Amino acid sequence: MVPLHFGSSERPLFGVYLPPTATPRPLGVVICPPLPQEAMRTTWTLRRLALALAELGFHALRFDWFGTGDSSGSLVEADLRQWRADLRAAVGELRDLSGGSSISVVGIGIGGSIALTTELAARDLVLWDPVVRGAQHLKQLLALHEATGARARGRANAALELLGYEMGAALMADIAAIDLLQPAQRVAHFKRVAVMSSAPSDEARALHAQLGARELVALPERAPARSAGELLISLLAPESVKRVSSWFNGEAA
Amino acid sequence: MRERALRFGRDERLVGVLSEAGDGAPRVGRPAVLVANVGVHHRIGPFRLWVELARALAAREHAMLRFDHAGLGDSAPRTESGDELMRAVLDVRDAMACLERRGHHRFVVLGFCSGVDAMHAIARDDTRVVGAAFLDGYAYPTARHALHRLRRLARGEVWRGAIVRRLNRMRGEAEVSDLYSRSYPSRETCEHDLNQMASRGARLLFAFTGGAQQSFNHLGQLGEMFPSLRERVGVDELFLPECDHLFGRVDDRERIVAALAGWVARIR
Repeated sequence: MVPLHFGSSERPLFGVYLPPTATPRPLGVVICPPLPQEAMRTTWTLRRLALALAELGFHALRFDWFGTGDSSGSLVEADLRQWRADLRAAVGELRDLSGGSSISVVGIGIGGSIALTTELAARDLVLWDPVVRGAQHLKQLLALHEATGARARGRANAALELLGYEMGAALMADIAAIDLLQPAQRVAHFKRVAVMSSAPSDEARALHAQLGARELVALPERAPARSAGELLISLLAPESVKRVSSWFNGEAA
Repeated sequence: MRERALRFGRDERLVGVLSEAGDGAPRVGRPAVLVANVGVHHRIGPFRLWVELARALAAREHAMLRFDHAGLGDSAPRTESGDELMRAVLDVRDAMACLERRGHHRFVVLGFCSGVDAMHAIARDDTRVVGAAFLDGYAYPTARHALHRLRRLARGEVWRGAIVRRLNRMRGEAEVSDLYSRSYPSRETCEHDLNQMASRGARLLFAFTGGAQQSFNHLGQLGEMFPSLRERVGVDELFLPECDHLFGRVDDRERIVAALAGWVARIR
């Protein structure tokens, strides 16, 4: 397991690379995290996913978006143009670390949405509870915030404090503009795509149908939090981790 | 400012990120700061608090290492036997050894909630520790604490808090106190330890938030809990009743980061 910084020296990104612990395959998986509001909840799950993939012979790379986690910058400076560049950097980095492997991507929440809307050529894509409509997702986060009794507070330069994090106007606008059901937004090229949902919605089903994905995989443990309090508690999702890693294993066979 | 990802300790099982000023060379008179996990949250701290603090300290030319205890975050578990506290202390010693190899020989340790246990033990026993800050750390009931609690009761604050906690439990949400139950040292033992630190010149900072009001609820309670510290130079108390336990608001994090960075900067 190798913690590292990668990307440009002006705005380095932090990642953790896991080489295969079983017979190596020339295959790698980049794991894209959700929004930082969901980081405390999902970090443990994503770590377990990387370990599970390594145990199946995959090279795995987890990373933090610019302005989040251990990566450089502040969230208020971030926008999706930068995060799409981060994803491309992560794919390139894993390709180098793995000696030129074919790279797949799994994205949880906004991570999946970014993967599908980034000019990227990769092997397979798993969308784990993707944000299908960004405006709706922001409304849900706002509702969680306001359920705590606090109002989401405006900050300087039209930024907004939402569930403990200051989000810049540009990032908010970019997220609000996401609509994965608009074919023009789905610019990534993947060989195979799976939509995996812990609470299959009409939108998830519609996305699955539009993508021509083989199956809509139901995940047993719910990733999206139902309250602000749940966001602070680590999600243990062993069965979901198994389903996701097994899907990659099946596709690689 | 630069940051490096590190693996250190036995079998390089511990993972951390070191933030440093400029060229990374230790600055004379600037002790390095060490911090680890808050509960099971990983090394960035709740709401990225430790990242913000590390960068504020680097701007003041203090290095800071934030790391995951063995078995938490990205660090592998320890294989040695021993109780949890002993193993956590070993992790902190490994972190100090890692920084010593980089030329740092004086340290400030920062413990928050359950993280106080290991940092308290290290600060007590290790003369390289020249400063220790404890956030929502050990606190003991006093007569005035009870009086303040009664006043809050009369104002309905305690009842409102209890009702909210009850509703949260009914919704299946855990309370901080559920997640982090620990055993405290006795008040006498704690006071003895703190005097041991202060006697050798270590600076001490005790900061309590509104989230700790069940055990600490007014400025001045520190001197009531530990009377022998009242006249000590280099002992500071900070009470932030408007802040929740995890500093979940941006302004609150800015406040505590400024307070901690300013306090560290005064340690020479």
